[in-house]
This record gives sequence, C-alpha cells and structure tokens, in this order.
Amino acid sequence: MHSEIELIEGCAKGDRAAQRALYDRFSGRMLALCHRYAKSTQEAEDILQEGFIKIFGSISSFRQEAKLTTWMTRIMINTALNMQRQKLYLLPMVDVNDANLYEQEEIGLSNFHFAELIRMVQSLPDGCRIIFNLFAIEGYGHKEIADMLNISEGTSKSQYNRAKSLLQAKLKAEQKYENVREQKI
Amino acid sequence: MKTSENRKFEEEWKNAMEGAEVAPSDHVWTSIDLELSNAERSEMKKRVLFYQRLAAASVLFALCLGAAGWFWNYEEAGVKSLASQPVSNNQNESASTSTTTSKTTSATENSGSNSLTLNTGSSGSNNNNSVKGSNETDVKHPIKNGGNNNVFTNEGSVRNIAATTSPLDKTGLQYAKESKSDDQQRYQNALEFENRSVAELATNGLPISAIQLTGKPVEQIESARTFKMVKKEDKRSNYQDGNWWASLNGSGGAYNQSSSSSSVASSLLFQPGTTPSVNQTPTSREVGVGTSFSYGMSLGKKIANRWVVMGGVNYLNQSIDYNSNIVLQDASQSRAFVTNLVSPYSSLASTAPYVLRNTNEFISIPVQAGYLLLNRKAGVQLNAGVAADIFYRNTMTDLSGQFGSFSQEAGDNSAYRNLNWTGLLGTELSYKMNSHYHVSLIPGFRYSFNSVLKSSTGSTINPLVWDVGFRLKYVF
Repeated sequence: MHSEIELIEGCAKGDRAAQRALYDRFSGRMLALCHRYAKSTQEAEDILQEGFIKIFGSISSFRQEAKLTTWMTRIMINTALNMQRQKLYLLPMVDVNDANLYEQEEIGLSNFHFAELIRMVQSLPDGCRIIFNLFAIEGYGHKEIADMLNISEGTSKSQYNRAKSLLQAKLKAEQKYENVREQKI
Repeated sequence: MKTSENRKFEEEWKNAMEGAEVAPSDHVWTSIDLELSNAERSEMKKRVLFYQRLAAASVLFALCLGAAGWFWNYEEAGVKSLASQPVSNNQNESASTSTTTSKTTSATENSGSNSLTLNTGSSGSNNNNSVKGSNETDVKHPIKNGGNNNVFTNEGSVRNIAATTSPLDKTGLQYAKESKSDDQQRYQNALEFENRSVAELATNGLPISAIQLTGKPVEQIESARTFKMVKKEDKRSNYQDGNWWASLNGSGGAYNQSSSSSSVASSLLFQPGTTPSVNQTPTSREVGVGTSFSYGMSLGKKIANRWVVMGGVNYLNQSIDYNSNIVLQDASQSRAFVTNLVSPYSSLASTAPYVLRNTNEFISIPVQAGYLLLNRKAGVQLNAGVAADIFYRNTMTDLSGQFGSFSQEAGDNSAYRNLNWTGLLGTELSYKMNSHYHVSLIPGFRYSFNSVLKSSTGSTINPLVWDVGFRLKYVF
C-alpha cells in the first residue's frame, strides 16, 4: 500500500503503476462527484477520464498545501464545468421565479438510496443542477458561483431555489410513491 | 427560520453525498492508459525533435564558425603576404641603389636632448646618413618588419624605416625613392625628424625619454613587440601542444532503430518444430522512439594547432518499447519477445498484444578526431570518428508484468552481433573554468554502419542516436 506522498511522487515521475494506484484509490469517489454534474453514466465517466488525465498532467505542480482529495475534487469540478459550459452557453441561465419557493414541506433524505438521489439530481435542468451542486454540496457562495459561471449572483440564487424546489417536489413524489407501496404491502 | 431550514436542506444533501463511491467501468482506465501513452509518445516526439534541432543547430553553428574562422585566417594570411611583398620590393629598390639595411644595432652616443639622427644603415658610399649634432643619438635602423605606417608619411629621409615598417604606405615609398637620389635631402629630413620619438615610431607609445634612459630603445621596441605577439598567441590558445587530458562523460538522447524486417522472421515462426503453438501472424512493432544514454571516460591529446585526438570507453544503453504478440517459451514460463530477434533457437507462442521494453547494452570504445574551430575561454570543436560497440546484453521486459523477462548475453545463441561499428559526429561546445578544468556540452549523432542483428534473424537494426553529452575534462 503506497502512501499518498509516494503516489504523488510516482505520478509526477510518470510511473504508470503509481498512476494506476492513485486511480484505484480515488476513482470511485471522483465518479460519484462526476455523476452529480452529468446527465448520464457515460457522461460521468467521460468527465472522470478527462479529469484524471488533467490530474496526472498537473500533479507535478501540486504543492501539497491542500489535501490531495480537495485538489483532485477541484480539478474534477472544473473539468465538469468545462464540459457543461457549452450546454450553458446554448441554454443560458436566466432568473426564475418559482411561486412554490420555500413553501414545500421539508422531507428527510435518510430513506433514500444514493442512486435515487443521484437520479433526482441528474434529472434537474443543466443550469440548476450545476448551481445546486456547487452551492449545496461543494459549499461555494453565490458570488463565487456567479464568477465561475459568468452569470449574475441573482441568477445563481434563483436557479438554486428552482433546483431546490424541483428536488423537494421529486422527493415528495418519491415518498408518496413509497408510502402507497408500503400501504399496499 | 427559513434560513435554518435552508441550511438543513443543504446539510442533508451534503451528508447524503459525502463519502459516496461509484465503481467506474474497466474501460475508463483503459482509455486513460491509452491517452497517457499517446501523450508520452508525443512528448517523446517533441524531445526527439528538440534533440534533432539542437544537433542540427549546433552543426550549423559550428559550420558558420568554421567558415568565419577560415575567412578570418584567409584574410590574415592575405595581409601577411601583402606585408611581405612590399618589403622585398623596397629591398630591391634599395639594392638597385646599392643600399642594404643593416642588422639591428643600437649605438647611443651622447644621449641627452631629443636630438636624434637616423642612419639608414646603408653600406654604400652614398648612404652614410649619420648626422651628428650636439647630444645626438645615432640609431641604426633596427626595424625589419611591421611598424606604424602613419609616422613615416612625411619623412622621406627614413627610407628603410618607411620601406620596412610601412609596406602599404605609398608616400613612404615615394619619399624613399626620392631620398635615394638625394642624400642631402635625406639629411634635411632626418634633421626634421630628429625631434620625433623613435619609440613612437616603432611601438606607438614608448616615450623617447624611456629610450634615452635605458639606452636600449631598439631592444625595448623589439622585445615589446615580441611580448605583444606572444601574449596574443597565448590568449588564443587554451591548450599547449602535446597536452593530455582525461574526462568523465555522459550523454542522453533519443534512439531510433531504423529497423526493417524480412519475411524470414515470420517464416521462422511457422517452421515445424520451432513454433508449434503460433496460430496468428506474429507482429512486433516499435512504439514511438526509444531512449539512449551512456557514460564513461575519455583520454585525449592535442596533436596540432587545431587538431585533437581522443578515445575512451563507455557503457551504452539503448531501449525502445514494442507492441508484440509473441512470447518466448521455455520450461518454466513465457517470456517477453519480439519478432525481430527470432532465431532458429527460439521457441515461440502467440499471445494477446502487449507492450515490452527491449534494452540493449554495449561497451563502446570510441576513437575520434576533433577540429578546434574556436579555442578561447569558450571553445567550439567539431568531432568525428568511429566507435567499436561491443554487444553485452539484450533484455526484454513485459511492462505489464504478465510475462517474464528475457535476457541474453552476447554469444552464439544471441541474435545480436558481438562487434558493431558506429560512426560518430558531434559538436563540442566547451567552457574553460580554469587552466585544468573544462566542461563541455556535446550534441551529436551516432549511427551504426552495420546492422546490430545477425543476418540469421532476417531483420536489420541500424541504431541512430541523437544525443546531448556532457564532459568534465581535466587538462594535465
């Protein structure tokens, strides 16, 4: 079992065994992240592949000031954003007003499996999905997101609220479906 | 309230996603691996291109320097020949008037004031130009070659000085002619000239007082000039003729096999008894360009003004990757192998394509001649020669680790020839750190004149290497 530093040094030298070991260690976690930004498994794996190529290409410049996973996550997110940017350009995000905002009943996620949650996220429109991931999961602020995506802060907020509203609706629908199924059983 | 609800929503999603993992398909790593290999290959191509350009630029640079050096030498030789020609003309002129320049002698008489008399040193009866005055100095003309042209332009009396020191000075010659026919005029001119400094005439700066004080102006002039010439020569030469030097050297670069395969290799695979298990077309294809490195020591000697000979001994390692679909079978396991090296002794089997690294090791004994284009603090030298590359060992390693390594030293069973001849060409850019230590950068080529493979393999490999070497030299 290689230490993280050994893996970094090996990858920096272009050692294929070290690259494989790094991939084996982090690919699962990174693919889960990619799934949140992609519409499909194929798209997620494309992001993963592209992201790892970038990681191996630039690992020699990694100064270990941040944790390796944080650095890799940032590269994966940037790769995902770059791959989604064309879609965002074709379908620019605009401010949205959702009447049901904040009116939805809060539903816990503990009863949902990861795959179900991912499916719900993937079903979101492109702009909503990206902003939801960046704000809710990665923890970026709306100002940072606005800068990253070259949109206004207001757009980021409204798109996030829309994503949240859509997700809550989906969660509710899934829960109702589950309740009905349980009652039938 | 709403804010806390919002936070709760985000927290819940964050927790749900945290630590989640999804196993990727196998093909993802295969694609990454392929892309990395392509990137490495293109990086290697860039490196090769860099070495090629560096070597080409060095050779071009050396050629330009050589041309400049040749032109410079040619010009210098031309000036020398021009310089010698008028002297002889003047001597002829002198001869026609029965004048002969005397050997350098100095006779200082009553040195005191600046009064000076120049004697043309003629042996003829009409050429006794000694002019004696109060405190005069009689200086028989000492100058044979060279001097200051300008100072004679208006001094017709100093015939021999003008003639010998100012070969290109037509005015001097003209006056010299005039003076031959008119000793009296020469005498007058000599009187006019007497206040001028002989040292100024000869060394362009040595004061007359110094001449007068030492009483040996001519020797001073001569020695000063000789010193200048010696100093100039010293500055040009880094080596003393006959100096030996020893060096440690290493080099690294790109390696191309320039290989070709005939059908012999493939047909051998299908010969009954040799390859019973082969059931597909055997192929071994080089992947990109290989790498080469060497290290060793050299000994050299400067044998002429610009020529150096050197020899040494080096360890040479050349490796290149192959895609292969055959393996060598022995009693214990299957070993990585390529079609190029198939011999009647090989027992082969087919397999799925895999990548192997083929490494050849040699002991190389180079002998080179070097021509010094520039030999100052920084030097440029063109090197060319031959090397006897004694094959030591060939090793093939499956990079995936699926098959065992195959290693074979020189001998009858080896597919490689024991002795190979290689041509060497390079440019040595050196820097003289001090009188003993020099460092050099040596971009160059090496090309094998003969195939390193035995003819029985049916394949040929003529390694071509572009490399950049480094040499740390100690001059004894």
